[in-house]
Amino acid sequence: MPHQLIICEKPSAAAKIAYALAERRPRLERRRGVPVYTFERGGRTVAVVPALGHLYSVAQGSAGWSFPIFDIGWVPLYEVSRKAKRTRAWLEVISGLASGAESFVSACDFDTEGSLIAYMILKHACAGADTRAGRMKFSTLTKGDLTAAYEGMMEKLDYDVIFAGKARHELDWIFGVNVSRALMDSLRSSGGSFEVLSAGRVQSPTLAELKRREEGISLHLPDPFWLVMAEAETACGGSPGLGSGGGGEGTGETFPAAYRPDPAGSGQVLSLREAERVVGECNGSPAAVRGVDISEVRIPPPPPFSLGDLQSEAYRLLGMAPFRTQKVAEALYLDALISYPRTSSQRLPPSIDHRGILRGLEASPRYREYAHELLCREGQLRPRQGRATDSAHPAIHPTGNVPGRRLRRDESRLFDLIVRRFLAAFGECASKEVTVISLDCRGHRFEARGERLASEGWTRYYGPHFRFREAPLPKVSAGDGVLMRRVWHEGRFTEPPPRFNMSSIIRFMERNGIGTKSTRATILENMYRRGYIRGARISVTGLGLAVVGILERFFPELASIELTKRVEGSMEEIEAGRRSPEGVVMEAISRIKPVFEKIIADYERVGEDLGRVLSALREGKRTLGPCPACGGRLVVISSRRSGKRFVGCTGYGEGCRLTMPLPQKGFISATGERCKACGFPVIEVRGRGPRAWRLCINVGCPSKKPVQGLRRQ
Amino acid sequence: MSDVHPKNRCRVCGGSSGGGSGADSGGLCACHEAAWREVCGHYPTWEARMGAGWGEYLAEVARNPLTGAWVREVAEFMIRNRIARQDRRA
Repeated sequence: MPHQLIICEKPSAAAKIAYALAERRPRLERRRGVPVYTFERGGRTVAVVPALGHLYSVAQGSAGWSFPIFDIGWVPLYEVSRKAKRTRAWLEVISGLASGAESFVSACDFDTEGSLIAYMILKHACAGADTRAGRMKFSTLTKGDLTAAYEGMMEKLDYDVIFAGKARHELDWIFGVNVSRALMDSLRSSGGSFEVLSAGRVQSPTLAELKRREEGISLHLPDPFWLVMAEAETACGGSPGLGSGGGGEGTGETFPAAYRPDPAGSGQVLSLREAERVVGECNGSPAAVRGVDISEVRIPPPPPFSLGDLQSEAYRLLGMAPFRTQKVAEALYLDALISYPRTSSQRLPPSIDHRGILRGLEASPRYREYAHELLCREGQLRPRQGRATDSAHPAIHPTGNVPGRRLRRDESRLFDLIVRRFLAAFGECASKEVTVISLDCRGHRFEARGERLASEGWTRYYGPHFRFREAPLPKVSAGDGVLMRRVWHEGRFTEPPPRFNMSSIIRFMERNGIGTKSTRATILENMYRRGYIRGARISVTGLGLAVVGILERFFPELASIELTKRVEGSMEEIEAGRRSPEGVVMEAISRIKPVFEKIIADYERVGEDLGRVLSALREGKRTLGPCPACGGRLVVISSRRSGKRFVGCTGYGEGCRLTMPLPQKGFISATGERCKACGFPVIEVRGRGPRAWRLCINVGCPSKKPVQGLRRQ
Repeated sequence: MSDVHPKNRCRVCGGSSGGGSGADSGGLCACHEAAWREVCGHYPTWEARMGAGWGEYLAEVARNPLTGAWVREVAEFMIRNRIARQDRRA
């Protein structure tokens, strides 16, 4: 019997859609492991089948491992990825269902990737059914939203968005695969060993920026300056004024103040002598209050979350990595608890039923009071709107559904953050009172600054996520006398530029149009996996510096922000229907071709440079420290005969016979430290467990307990 | 590192100096040449602010946890090799 076939992006979304659209409980059937939901709606049989994300991928048109390759096409994912074998069954099941279908609907997530996933399946697995397929547009997986999306579906697929996505995939393949292969192949042909290296249109400019910051930090030379601090004390029960000496009794309240000769300046004193002079003149001296300036600063509510904002805030407040935040947010979306998270919008349009969502949140004891308070407010509910917009989706917001299952810790924390941000967007402005007391002590100007929250406003809804440190000051008036009970100077140094963290690097990518909201966190994750960067406060590894150094020398365009900005601009033009995807891809190919011609001309030099850097890195990794016997280097050596590893000295040829055994399991790395008892290098051994252990490589070290049968050396 | 000609080795790290063009610091890699310039360039500031002598300055820079890795390596190299203030452009 002919039916309608609805294609979804993921199995969990398929279940939500089937249950939302079915008039009665849908029937679930597993065909070769693929869940297929069937039900009746309006007298018509409907089948809902999920994909597993992308089922098709860009691949080279001809066989072989060479570069540059510009002859590319789209093939089923299982043909190019061993990990995707099971997608074959999915495509065959979808093809089978398509043969008996009379109409088709794309119900994948409404964004570039979702549209492309459905388009490829409809075009290739459903015999060109893309031309007669409809498109459901929804931002949440709630029953109401899905039913409305089905009833009012678009008659045609969103081809401009699809073509922009297709062109992006093709360009990323052309840049990424060709440059990565060029690096690996030049290394191999210059006699270096095989090493998996990668470079890409989005990864390379990000890594280049991280390298620039790393260089700034490595070249930082701290300059000294001084801050003069004071502990002032109000006079008790009187305002004797300057010079009266009445403040010298010291029986009032104390408060901190800082020397600030220029009210607009930072208070830095650029000479030790000057700092000492101020301290000498002011310590224990009376001072007068020259003025008290009280101002009220309004703190408007924060705009609703875009994905970038959410990742940034979750990292700052919850310590959650951006990649993890995206995963958790997607799980909450699939549970119909929040709206679609891959959005750049900071706006909640009036088409969203704000009151309905608040009524839904009233059901949760945690948010009941706040939701009720907002619902009882007179007049229209107007949220604070941010500047960023997204044509496909509104800002991330709760759906009003309460969790039907016990949420995991990260899910619960992120859900709370999203709900509170939504509530806060409807709150009144908060305000803080800032007090600045100016003091005059023997002609030197000191300043005390205090802050207190004057009106809670939206911060009440944001609750634990709003952090404010109150700094109260005593009540004084101009002309009052105070005592500078203690004045001292503190030596400081100028700081190096701050390291990027996961949040700030994503912000940098966002600001410069590098990558898309969906790919930024994944690209960052890849750089960690490849060993190009490490640490929460990101530092670039030797390998990362080497790769980006080579790219800057031989592919400067790829390491620049301009190329990726230009590509993003072209994507927007395709989405707006002003350019064809083929034209954009051809233009990019014509631009990158000369770069490859250049690298082929410099092939040997690229390989040699890369090989030299990599062998230096490997040598560095294998070196444990200086040899205490001859001054050579102690290195890890693997015996060709037994395959076992041990420590040997590079001075072997000159007669140094020092050798030491090593643990045979685990990853060994040098710590750069020497044993306090014997001076031998200390190493770190990392096994399967989470904890690494440190040991001195000297078996005869006096710090070790003697083992029976082992002689001390 | 063995394929780098001794003449072209960086005096601080032993890496390739790319021919050692630096007239000021001769025989340094690009990173250490830039760091060398920083060490020499910041001394007048330290001298004016702290009244520090050249040796004291180098020791402070090498010891300071905020000092960048390349600058520290150059400062330690200068201390080890007793590079005097008047020699710093030699």
